Amino acid sequence: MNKQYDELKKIKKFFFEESFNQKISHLPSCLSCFEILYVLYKNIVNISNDNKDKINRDRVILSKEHAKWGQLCILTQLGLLDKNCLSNFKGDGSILGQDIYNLVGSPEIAAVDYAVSSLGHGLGVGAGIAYGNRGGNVYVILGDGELQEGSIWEAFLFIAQHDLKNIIIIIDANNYQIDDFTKNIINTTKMSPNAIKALGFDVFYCDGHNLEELDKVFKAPHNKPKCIIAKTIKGKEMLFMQEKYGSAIYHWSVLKEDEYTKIMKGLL
Amino acid sequence: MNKRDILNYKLFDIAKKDPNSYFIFLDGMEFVHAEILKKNNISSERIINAGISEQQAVNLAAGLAMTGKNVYLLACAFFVVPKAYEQIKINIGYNKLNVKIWGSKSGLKDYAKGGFAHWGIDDISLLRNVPNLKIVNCFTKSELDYYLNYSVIHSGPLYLIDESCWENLDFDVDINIGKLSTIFKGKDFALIGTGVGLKKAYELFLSFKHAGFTPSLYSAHSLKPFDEQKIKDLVDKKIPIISIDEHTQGGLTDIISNIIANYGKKAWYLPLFVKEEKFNLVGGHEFLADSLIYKDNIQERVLDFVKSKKYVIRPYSKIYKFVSSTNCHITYKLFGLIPFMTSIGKNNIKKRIKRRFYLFGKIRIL
Repeated sequence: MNKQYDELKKIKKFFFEESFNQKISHLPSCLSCFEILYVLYKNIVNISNDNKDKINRDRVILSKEHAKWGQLCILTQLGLLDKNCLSNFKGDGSILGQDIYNLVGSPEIAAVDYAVSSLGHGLGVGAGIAYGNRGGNVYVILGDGELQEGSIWEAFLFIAQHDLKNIIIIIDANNYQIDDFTKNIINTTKMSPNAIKALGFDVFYCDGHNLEELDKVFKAPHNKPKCIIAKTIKGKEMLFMQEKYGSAIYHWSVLKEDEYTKIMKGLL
Repeated sequence: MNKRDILNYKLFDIAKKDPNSYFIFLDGMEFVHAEILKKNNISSERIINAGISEQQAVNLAAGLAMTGKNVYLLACAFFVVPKAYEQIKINIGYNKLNVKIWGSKSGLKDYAKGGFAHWGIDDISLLRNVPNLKIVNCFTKSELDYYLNYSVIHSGPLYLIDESCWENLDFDVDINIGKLSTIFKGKDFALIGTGVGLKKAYELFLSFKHAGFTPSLYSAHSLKPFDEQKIKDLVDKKIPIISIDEHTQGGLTDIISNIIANYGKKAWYLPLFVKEEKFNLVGGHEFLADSLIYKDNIQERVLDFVKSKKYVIRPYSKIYKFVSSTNCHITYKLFGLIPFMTSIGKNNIKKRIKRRFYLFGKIRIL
């Protein structure tokens, strides 16, 4: 695992460098599920350059769409996405934006399974894929704030009804949404686990930044549809900015030079 | 005071004067708009953050309005309208409930880089179908001020949008719901803009005025109800019309096209709007607007249109006549090779065939 921690650190450095150079926002959301995505792509899912354009492989659906930039950085660094694709993220005429529609499944970005920049869609789509392809596992990452969308619960009900064991739901429980703590708006972080258990899911808990724990929980056997509650920190490496800006501006913030320097020092 | 401050102060004013007013925010909106309410001790019971749940927020607004509350719902247009369309249509529209929906970031401008799901370009076309709902696009400071005051006296469903909240364009003109505002009166052609389209129309107006033309400039802030009579007057006077709207079909373009088509007279009309939905197009506002709406050189396109008057909309009545006549089905071979079939009206058939197929080879009438 030490090697993996080193590799993860390198990927994070790349992530911050590119974020600073390209003035990318939504970094705290990316960082709260960074380790989850890394462990999934590195140790768990069977996605490789040989099979990434195949239908019957495993799938990773990032339903909390605003963390897409982190996902793309990880895929690039693991060699599943061409590095050149990232050079102009969201820029005029780029192939990679916050939404990736017509290009999903195309050779350049075949490793990206789903990319729509609106919350509440990923779990339903994941349920469809899991239902249609029982041979592959589908990993769906949801935000705890995203659990406020009604469509998420419609999908939970469908998965429970059809006992879809090949869909693994990971809730990135960072306790925040844009405006405030989830507990001050609709406390989905606290209320959801019991509701999910009541629907008949096997619910697991883990530290969402600990690679060993993540690896273990992903590999843990389950007899019912599986849901992992990953306790995370929104913007783990840049928390000083949350104190500085407050919840909402922190959510959208773009790195300034002094902030970037401070973060990079912390990563050394 | 910028437009966002005008909105926030007005919300506070409404909250202060009307204890029956309630404010529902979707995630991200509370931070932008509710601070002034909280600072000034407006009861927290009247400030509701519905979180990330558009359908629930609209239903909640409907329920509150059913108890006699005056409800303001503040949400991103591109999320709340498509996601909660049925709730808006059935619960708010049909029931004529006193709910004012503030559709933040409508249009292409504000969240161009957020991806297609963040382009608020189809809200007007969807909501025009909602009964009893009035739709206004308050782009200038004066329009914003007028419609916020209007929202207080109007009891019923209202959808307010302000494309590009930070742009502070203004004109000293009369503003009334259901009427186009005449910003400049000319005789050569009419430029009608709504939202960011008004800004583009104003830029075109200035460039053409500089080139010696005398165009008119109108602001279409009231989209439903719309100033039908003004369009008919322009058609009667044979004045070419150019409309600019950074929304899809169903917005200002469709409103004007329908008036012209049903009026039954020829009109010269160039609509500029988001014609094609290129889902995979990525970029900033200028790049997207140029790719999706304005294309190459907009001045030249408008000039070409004004000079040639070649974009003719024919009234529906004539189209119906054409369709209802017994048509002839014609098969032909393009360049003598590729087979095609078409249907053509019976009246003056020789003339029609000659006009349509003079380039092609053999024609066989079935």
